[in-house]
Amino acid sequence: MRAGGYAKQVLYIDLTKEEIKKEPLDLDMARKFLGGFGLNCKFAWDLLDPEVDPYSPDNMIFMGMGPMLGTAAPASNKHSVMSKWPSTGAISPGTAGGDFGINVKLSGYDQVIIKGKAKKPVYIKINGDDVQICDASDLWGKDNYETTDMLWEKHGRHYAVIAVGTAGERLVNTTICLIDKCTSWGKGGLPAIMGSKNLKAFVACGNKGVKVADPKRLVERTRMIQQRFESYPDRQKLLDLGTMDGFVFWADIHGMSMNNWTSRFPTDEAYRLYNTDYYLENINVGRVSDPTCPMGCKDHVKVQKGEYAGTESWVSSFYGRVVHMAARCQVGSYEKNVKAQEFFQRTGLCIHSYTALIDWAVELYERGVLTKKDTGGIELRHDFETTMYLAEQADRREGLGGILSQGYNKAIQDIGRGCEKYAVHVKGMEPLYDPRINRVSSAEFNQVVNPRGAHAPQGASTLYMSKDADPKGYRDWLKDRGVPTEALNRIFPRSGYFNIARLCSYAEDWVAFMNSVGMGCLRGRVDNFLKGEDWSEAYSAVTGFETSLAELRTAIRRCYNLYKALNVRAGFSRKDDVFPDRWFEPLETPDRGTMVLCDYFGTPLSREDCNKLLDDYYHERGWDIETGIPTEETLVESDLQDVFSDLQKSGFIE
Amino acid sequence: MEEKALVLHPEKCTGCHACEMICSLVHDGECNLTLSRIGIMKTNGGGSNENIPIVCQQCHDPICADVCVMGAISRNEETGALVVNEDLCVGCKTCVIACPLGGVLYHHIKGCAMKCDLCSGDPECVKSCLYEAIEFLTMDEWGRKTRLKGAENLGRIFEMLCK
Repeated sequence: MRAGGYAKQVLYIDLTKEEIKKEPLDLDMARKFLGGFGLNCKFAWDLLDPEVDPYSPDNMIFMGMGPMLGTAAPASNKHSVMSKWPSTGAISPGTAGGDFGINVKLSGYDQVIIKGKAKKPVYIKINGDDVQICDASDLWGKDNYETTDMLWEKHGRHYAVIAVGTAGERLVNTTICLIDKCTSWGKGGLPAIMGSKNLKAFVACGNKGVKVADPKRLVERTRMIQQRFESYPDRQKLLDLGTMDGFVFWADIHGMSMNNWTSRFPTDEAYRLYNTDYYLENINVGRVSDPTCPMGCKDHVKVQKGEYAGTESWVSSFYGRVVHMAARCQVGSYEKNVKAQEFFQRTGLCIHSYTALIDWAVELYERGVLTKKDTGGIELRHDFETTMYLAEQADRREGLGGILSQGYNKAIQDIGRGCEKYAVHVKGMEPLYDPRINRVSSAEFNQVVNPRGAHAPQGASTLYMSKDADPKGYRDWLKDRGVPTEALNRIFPRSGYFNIARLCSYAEDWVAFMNSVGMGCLRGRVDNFLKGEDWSEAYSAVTGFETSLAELRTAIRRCYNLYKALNVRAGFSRKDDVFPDRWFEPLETPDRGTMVLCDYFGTPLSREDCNKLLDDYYHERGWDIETGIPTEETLVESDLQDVFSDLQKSGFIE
Repeated sequence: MEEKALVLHPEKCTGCHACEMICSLVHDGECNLTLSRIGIMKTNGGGSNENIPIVCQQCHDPICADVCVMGAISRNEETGALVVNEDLCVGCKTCVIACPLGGVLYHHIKGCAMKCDLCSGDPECVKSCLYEAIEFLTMDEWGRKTRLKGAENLGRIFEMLCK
């Protein structure tokens, strides 16, 4: 049997030296750290100075393709990037679907590692053995759509393109890159890091193929998984609505906070402005799928009527984007919502991050912390005009918008005047889910402990736990994913209760695992149709390394410990895992009364209770309860002796 | 056997590449977009109204077979597929040039013509396309479906006229 999955090659690009190197991938190391996110952690640990300035030429971009990526296995499309993010200072990952990763893999590379700074604007072209650093002077100053179109014009539409928008060129760090105009990658400032390196874009097209050790076994497992999707009775509805099938959860069952975490977006307003019938008739014009995803949920949207008719956008997680524009910025009509999204997509502004900063700025203005002197003479409100005004300023990195565009950590320093009191963030990144509305489930808790910052979608959980669902389902899910019985007993110590902090660590592992092997999607809409054994089967069939689910789980626990260690070395510890103050204030809603921070079962939680949950989380992970740092025992058990020695030598562990 | 063909519905294609991945996997043992007998041509952002799947239509009067001086392309009477005899093919690519539909390609590893063989009568791409953008139909079935689509369109036009 031949070894498959891994392309067995690492591509190093030094932009300063204009040097391109290809080195073999150490397969033993690959098995130990799986690939994608896991191998990125390993390379970052070995090569990246933890104290590096994110904008320094010495900061590095690690891209990991994962062994399953680019195969026929369902949803085998997740590629992961890692760098030291300018918005938070954390060394952390971002993931994407889209065609870029598969084309790098099909070109013959598992990992791409970039460092240095080009003398003038460049882009990187990867086409099998042919890798070039190309002149991008004509692309500089162009937005995401223009850049992508120009590169397709030059190389052909079969190339996948990652572009940096205009904001990234000016080192705005509340930005994301776009793959083929649609898929977002690198929240927290990948475009700004690329901008600091004079790196405008990547294009990739591969023709080498991903070898599969046992094609028959992979085809059988693929078919089995596909049949589960096909036989799902509501399948057509999910395909029609894409992520907007979550509308009811947002509008009604759960909800989204507004006015900077002091109210909840009213249900009748959500139905009036953004109902799914209107979406189907007037907004959605097509569906976009990531490679081999059976539940393609990305949107091609186009405004049909009114002032903004013809405005067009390709968006991943459209529902999330609509909700943020709706609740945080209160932009109004669906058409204005899409118009604002299009501007963010073109410039590369991150809809998740920057809408939160706008929301915060409006409260600061209302409280008199900010005045017309700061805003350039305009009144800040929750509306379309303010949103576009601040977004345009952010893109140009001018005025108040320019200050906000550097994320919470920097903006708090620049604005001063006690503004931090109203800033809702963890480690400088905005949370997405309000635990007073949703209660503290896996995604909410993860926002506090995620080393990346309060970024919910990545590293969170496929368990979007609806507060009315039977907890038994979670136990079954964990068991199916190979969580050992003794851990299950700690998570579910008695009937009618479970410990969300302990559970969260395994939910995080699962997402980290998917991002490492390069298969799967963190959305429940895909993960619900997969079983734990699919992963060991598919991994074994593709790579030829017969590997059990338990072995895969051990490997991912190792990767996660290394991920934490990377950030310990960058200066993070328990002091940074802080529940935002505002979550402990009651949420007054216009239509649901007063909501307070509760656990899954509706029992109110105090800060002391939340600190106890943090204790449980660190204990479950084998990290020191006082410091949140992995213990010697945990690191040695994960076969990370060298990591322990390093942390001990640097004084992080006694 | 009764004539059957792969019927493509570009408006349903989300550009997920599942057909291409499975095609190259079952034929060549590896996943490789450039070795797939079916290909998705994307335009713009690659939405379901922007992608065009391309595959051999197993022509009734096949130009690829006509132009092949080696006689390497012939019809498999059991499946109806036009198949390449890789032993006879010399890799001259005339068939690639001649096919107006882009249905024949050149296998850059084997050095011979490469085209859809209908997977011995049970096409894998059809099974892997969960968006139902590829169907494998007899000409009767296709005809009925085409008429049905026409009837739906006419119905819509009547409805509009009546308003």
